[in-house]
Amino acid sequence: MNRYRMLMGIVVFGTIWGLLECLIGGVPKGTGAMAHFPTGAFLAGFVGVGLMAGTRRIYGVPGMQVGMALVASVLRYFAPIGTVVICSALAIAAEGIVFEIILLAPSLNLAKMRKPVPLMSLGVIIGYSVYVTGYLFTQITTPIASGEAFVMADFISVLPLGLGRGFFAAVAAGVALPIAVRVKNLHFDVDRIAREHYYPTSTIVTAFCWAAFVLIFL
Amino acid sequence: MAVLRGRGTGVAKGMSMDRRLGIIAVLVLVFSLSALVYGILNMREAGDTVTINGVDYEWRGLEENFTVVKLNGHRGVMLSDLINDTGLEDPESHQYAIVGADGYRKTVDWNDMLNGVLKIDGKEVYFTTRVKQYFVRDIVEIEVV
Repeated sequence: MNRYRMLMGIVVFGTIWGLLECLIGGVPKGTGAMAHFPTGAFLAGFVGVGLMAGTRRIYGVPGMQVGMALVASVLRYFAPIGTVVICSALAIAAEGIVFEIILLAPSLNLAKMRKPVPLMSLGVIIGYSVYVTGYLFTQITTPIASGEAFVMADFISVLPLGLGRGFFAAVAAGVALPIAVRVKNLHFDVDRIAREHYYPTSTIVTAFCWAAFVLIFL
Repeated sequence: MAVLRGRGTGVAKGMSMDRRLGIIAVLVLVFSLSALVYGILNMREAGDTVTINGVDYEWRGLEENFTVVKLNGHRGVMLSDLINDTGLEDPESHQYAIVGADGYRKTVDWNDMLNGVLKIDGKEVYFTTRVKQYFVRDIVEIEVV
């Protein structure tokens, strides 16, 4: 994999991820059933894991997903929806790291996994790990990062919430990961796309996302 | 990570990696669903009243009995006014735990109470001095710590 193609991929898919986080994560909680919709779990499980698994399958480069997560977290951090959203930004960065750590296991090679049930199982495991780690990580780091004291009683009280809401992330990722991995079946080979098409298209998509971000949020 | 090592590694003879993944996934789903059900069973109902320092206040009566202010567009009753109304002595020497119906809890100090409102619409708090994570929703109680 060409280094510059991979860097472009990090920027493009990280930007798309970040924009989706800002758009969906910034929607005010509604009333009725929508008030209880697990937006964070959906974003982590479906959008986050879906994009990370899809890009891992397409590019096949370990480490790339952490870069995407960092790009997405930068966008999320600067989206001034209501207030500073440092917790969401930290969660996204943690999600990318956890994804990479799990896929360090040599046998968990997305390129070699074909059957849907193991892929769904892996999605469930990754989705839950990614969401719960991100959720609990921000409960610890956000008070510290915003100059406040970490209160253990608060952390203990949110533990059952994080562990329970992770169920939705697990289910969402159990659906998203098999779909994302099958993107490769569309014969979408990044290395074979002519550079005259790859770089301009990537730049246009990135510029469009940033323009949309600036117009909507700044 | 060793548990995820698969066929051919010499570690996991007798059980394929696919089956291991399946078992772990089922365990994850059962565990998380249990935690979710536990949370739902322990959820307190965000009813007509909110308990502040042991005193029950009706949500509907807050607007009539307290001055309503706007902080950065967030309309509500000053949290410091509510605490003072409970008769708490020396409020600056205490901390305050804001507790939501789902058990979500955040502890703040007096300076935050001076810069925060209890929003009657949505039954949530807003602080000018804190980040979004502290904006507890469906509040049932404000405890003095």
